[in-house]
Amino acid sequence: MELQQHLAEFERAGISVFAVSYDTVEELAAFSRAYGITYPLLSDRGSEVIRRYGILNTTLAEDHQNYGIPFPGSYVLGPDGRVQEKSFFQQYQVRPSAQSVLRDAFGVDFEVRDNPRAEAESTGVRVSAVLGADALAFMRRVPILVRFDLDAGLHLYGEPIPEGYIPTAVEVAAPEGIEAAPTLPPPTHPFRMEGLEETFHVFEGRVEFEVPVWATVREGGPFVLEVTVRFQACDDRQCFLPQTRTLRVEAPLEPLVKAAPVE
Amino acid sequence: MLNEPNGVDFPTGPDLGQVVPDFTLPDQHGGSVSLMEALGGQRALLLFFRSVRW
Repeated sequence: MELQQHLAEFERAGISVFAVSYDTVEELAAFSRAYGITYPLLSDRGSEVIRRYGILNTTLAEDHQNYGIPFPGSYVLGPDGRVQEKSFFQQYQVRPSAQSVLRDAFGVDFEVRDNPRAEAESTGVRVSAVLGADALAFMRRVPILVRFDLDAGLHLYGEPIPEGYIPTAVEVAAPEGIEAAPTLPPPTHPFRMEGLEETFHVFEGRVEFEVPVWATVREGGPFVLEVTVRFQACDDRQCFLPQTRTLRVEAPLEPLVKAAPVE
Repeated sequence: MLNEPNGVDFPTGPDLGQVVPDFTLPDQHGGSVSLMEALGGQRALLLFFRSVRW
């Protein structure tokens, strides 16, 4: 379902989508009609293709009612049919969102146009945080995007960092029902200051941190995620006072959709 | 990389860099889709899921 919501973005980027299951054509047709699925749902009745790919779930006995299902997952294929990435999940593992797949596997960036952006400022530094998806969802990972815009000539510190300096820290306080993974910082570049031996690793200009979050509940919200940033801005001669800011990102929870009953 | 750490080992099919097996399967409209032909020189996302029933 979520894939269908973002299918236009895949199509715009010239990426086709195919989904295979062991359901009958009739079952796939009913589902496709009920949910308006426009990408191909392919019927691998008898699981011949599933077997050929080597992903038949053999933990089920042959007489089990669900025997024939695959270990579910996906492949990112190049135009020549070669596997560029693959993703296979255990039952209750967190899955990436369709937009994350587009961005991380296909390098297609997404716009977060309509989402409210929380903002804060300090001398020469503007910080903002926004949810990088339409909504949170059960066991689906979406990013909170925390952007720093620095005036020219200013930099913030990343890791590794010499003692005594303040690294840039971005953390999310997840409320009950939400979990967060460690923050993913953007790349730094090396920086030397005149008269100092150490090499620093700094962020300049516009950089974006990502904090992956997901809901562990099926309903509820909207949730308020508190993003705390701590940083110290310096130019090539001096440093400003370290700053801490808290930004509140409000995020709705997408209700879980159940599959349509098959006639 | 989208590979996720597993607690238990299970097979995940063709490896990175390998060409996936071609196939021809019917789609939900009663048409027929041959994977390599349908790729048509574009990148693709190929998903295997358990069932639309649950």
